[in-house]
Amino acid sequence: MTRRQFIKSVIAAGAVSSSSLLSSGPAGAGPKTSPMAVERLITLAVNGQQRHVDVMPQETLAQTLRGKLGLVGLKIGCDRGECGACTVLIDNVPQYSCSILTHSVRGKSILTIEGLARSDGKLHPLQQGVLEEQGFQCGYCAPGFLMSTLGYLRTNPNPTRQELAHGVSGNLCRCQDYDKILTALMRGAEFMRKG
Amino acid sequence: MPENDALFTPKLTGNDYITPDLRAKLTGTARFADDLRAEGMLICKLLTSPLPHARVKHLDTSAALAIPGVRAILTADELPPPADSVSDSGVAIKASPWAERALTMEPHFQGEPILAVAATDEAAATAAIEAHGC
Repeated sequence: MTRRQFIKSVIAAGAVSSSSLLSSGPAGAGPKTSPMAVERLITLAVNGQQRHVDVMPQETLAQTLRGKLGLVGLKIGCDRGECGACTVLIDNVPQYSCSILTHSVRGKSILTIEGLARSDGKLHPLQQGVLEEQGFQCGYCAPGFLMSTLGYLRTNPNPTRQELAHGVSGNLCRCQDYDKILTALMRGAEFMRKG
Repeated sequence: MPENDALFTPKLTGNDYITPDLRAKLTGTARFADDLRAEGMLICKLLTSPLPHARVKHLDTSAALAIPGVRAILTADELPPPADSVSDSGVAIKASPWAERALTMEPHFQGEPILAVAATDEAAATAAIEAHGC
C-alpha cells in the first residue's frame, strides 16, 4: 500500500465515521452537503499567526506549508514518514508534516523552523548553539532535526547525549553527520537551559 | 603547485569561523533545488512500471490530458532515437540500439519510467499519473 493510497483510505474512513456521527445527532442537524464535501477555506495557526488558506481534502500539511504558505524551510525528503525532514511542532509535539492531513490540524498550533528566530533576527538558543558548533553540512535535514530536538527537550530539558540521540532518532541525515549534529544539538540544549 | 606556494596566504586554515551559509540553513531561509520556483515553471512526474518486466500494449493519455493544469505528456515513441556521439578525446562513439532510454514501452525493472507528465502544479501532475491507472 502506498502512502497516497493510505491517505485516500483515511479520507474515505473519515467520511464514513463523520456521516454516522451526524446521522445519530438531533434531527435537522444533518449535513447540508455530502459527507465527502470538506470546507476548503480554512484557518491555520502557524508561527503565532492566523493564516487563511485554501486546502484540498487530500492535502498534507507539508504540501500546504510549503506550497501555499511559502514556508519552504521544512523539506519533503521522502514524502513517506521515513526521513523526518518535514518535522514541525503541532501543539509542541514533533510530527511528520508529510503524513498529516492539513484538515486534521485545524485549531492546533503549528510551529515551523521559520518561527524560531525572533523578528529582530536574534536566533533561538537552540539555533545559536548549533551555529557555534557548526552542526550540519548541507543543511537539508537541519530544520527537521531542530524541530524534533525542540519537541524532545520539552520532555527532557537536560538529556544525556545518548538520550538526545534517541530523541532525534526519527530524523535522517544523508551526509552521515550525526556525531557533529549531536554535539551541536547538545550545545543548543545547554543554551536553552541557560535561557 | 610549488611556484604557487608563495601566493598561498591562508585566512581560514587554523582559524575558527562560521560558514557564511550556516545561519540560513538553521533558520529555514536557505534555498535548495526543490524550494525554487520560476515564472511559468512546470512540474514533471513520471509514470513508472509497477511490474519488473512488462510490455505496454496500449496507452490512452486523453483522460490525463483533459485534467486542468496538465500541459504535456511525453511517451517513449516521441523520444529521439539513440544518436552517435563524440568523446572528449575526439573518438566517435556509435549509438547502441540497446542503450537505456529515458522512457520505454517495455520496462525491464519495477519503477522504470514509461511516460512523463508536465503540469502547472504537483497535484495536477499526480492526478494525470493516476489517470493512467497504475
